[in-house]
Amino acid sequence: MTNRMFRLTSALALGLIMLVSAPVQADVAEEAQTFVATNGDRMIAILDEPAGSERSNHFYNWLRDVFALDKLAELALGPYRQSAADAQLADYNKAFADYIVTTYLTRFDAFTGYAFQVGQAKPMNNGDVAVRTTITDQSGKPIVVDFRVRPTDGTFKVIDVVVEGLSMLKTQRDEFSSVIQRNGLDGLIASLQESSLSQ
Amino acid sequence: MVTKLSVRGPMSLQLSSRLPGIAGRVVAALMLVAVAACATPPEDPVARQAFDEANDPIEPTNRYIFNVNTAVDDVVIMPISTIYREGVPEPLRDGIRNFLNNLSMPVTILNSALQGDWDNTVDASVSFFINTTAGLGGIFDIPGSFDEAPRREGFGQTLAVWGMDEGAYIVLPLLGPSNVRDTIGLGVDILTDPLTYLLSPTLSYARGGSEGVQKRSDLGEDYDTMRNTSIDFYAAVRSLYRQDRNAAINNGEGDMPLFEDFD
Repeated sequence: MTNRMFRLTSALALGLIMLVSAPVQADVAEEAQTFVATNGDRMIAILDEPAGSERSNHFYNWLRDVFALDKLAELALGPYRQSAADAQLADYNKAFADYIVTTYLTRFDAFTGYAFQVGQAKPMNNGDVAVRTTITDQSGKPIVVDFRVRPTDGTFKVIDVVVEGLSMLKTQRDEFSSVIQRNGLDGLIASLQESSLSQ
Repeated sequence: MVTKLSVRGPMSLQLSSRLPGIAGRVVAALMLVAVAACATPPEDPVARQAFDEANDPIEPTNRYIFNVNTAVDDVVIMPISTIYREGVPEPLRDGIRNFLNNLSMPVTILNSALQGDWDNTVDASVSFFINTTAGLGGIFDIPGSFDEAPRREGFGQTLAVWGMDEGAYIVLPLLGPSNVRDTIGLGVDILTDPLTYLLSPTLSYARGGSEGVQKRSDLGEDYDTMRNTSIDFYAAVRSLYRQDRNAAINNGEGDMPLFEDFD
């Protein structure tokens, strides 16, 4: 009798767990979509502001808020992280953050006046969520932009942006690797600093 | 943020410059230069892995040609395409784009069939027929008679679908980024395109040149932004080219890259 009750209880418990976990996955996907939609709108609002240091600051804060800059720096550096000194890593992280802010402000500027629409969200194998969006330019041509977002501290952070199959993270990783091969990690840090200044 | 670049460089890789006789001589010249300027593999294991992944054994030569291409773009192609974009009204430019795109349909039809992609074969055939006849030789793109606009296909993609690896990275003079497989593909495309034989050499060059100018004018500021914000533009283009080709080969259905397992 006890055995059967135990088995029945376990079956019920298992059933309950399965019932609960399915909607949780769907919830994460939905939350990811909302996250991308809200922050996409925020970005467009910031880009609409008059150009100047205030706009740059707003953009910088938005970027820090929405993107996992430290994680991105880590992933972009890849295998070279192991042989880097602590001081170098600190310099690199700072240079990387500055570079990303200036570069993205320049590149995202091209997107003012575009319509932005959030589509499907697909959970990935490692817990991240891939959210598809479509950006339509003035001539009506749609551009597919996918955001890989990672659940972090109750909200999300962007890990990668993939535009029509071109991954920003992969491109940076390849580019950084090439610079390190030719000029070392110090060379990379110098290039990043120079680029932030000259834009 | 990268907007969609035609990362094959200012000139379209698939059906651009009609260089039947010259192509052979260029390739031969390239191979001589390639032998002369090979990169030596590094010893450090991390560096060695990066070297292998980059798969760019003639990098010094490639960088040189890349710089030449960039200079030609700055001095010749960019000014012409600016004049084109600012002097030619948009409806006319759309017509020219449609016309050139339509001319690429025969090769798309052939290669979609070779890949066993019957949907695209039919789409491209219908598109070519309707646009050429009712669309006045392809100037007007008449949508609506099929579900989706056909995807451009070439022999490079066919070779990939058949299982051929991309091979080493090659920067072609004027044509821009390529690799061993896609260069072979380009050669076959030129040979299998009926228009190669129907057009005189002068018209073929004109077609190639027009396509280059038209694509360059479409790229416009995105290319300049990329160039100014890159710390190693050559390496960025190399990466983008490969990602772009993989997206084209997978017909846009690949998964997002994950890097956790590298660290």
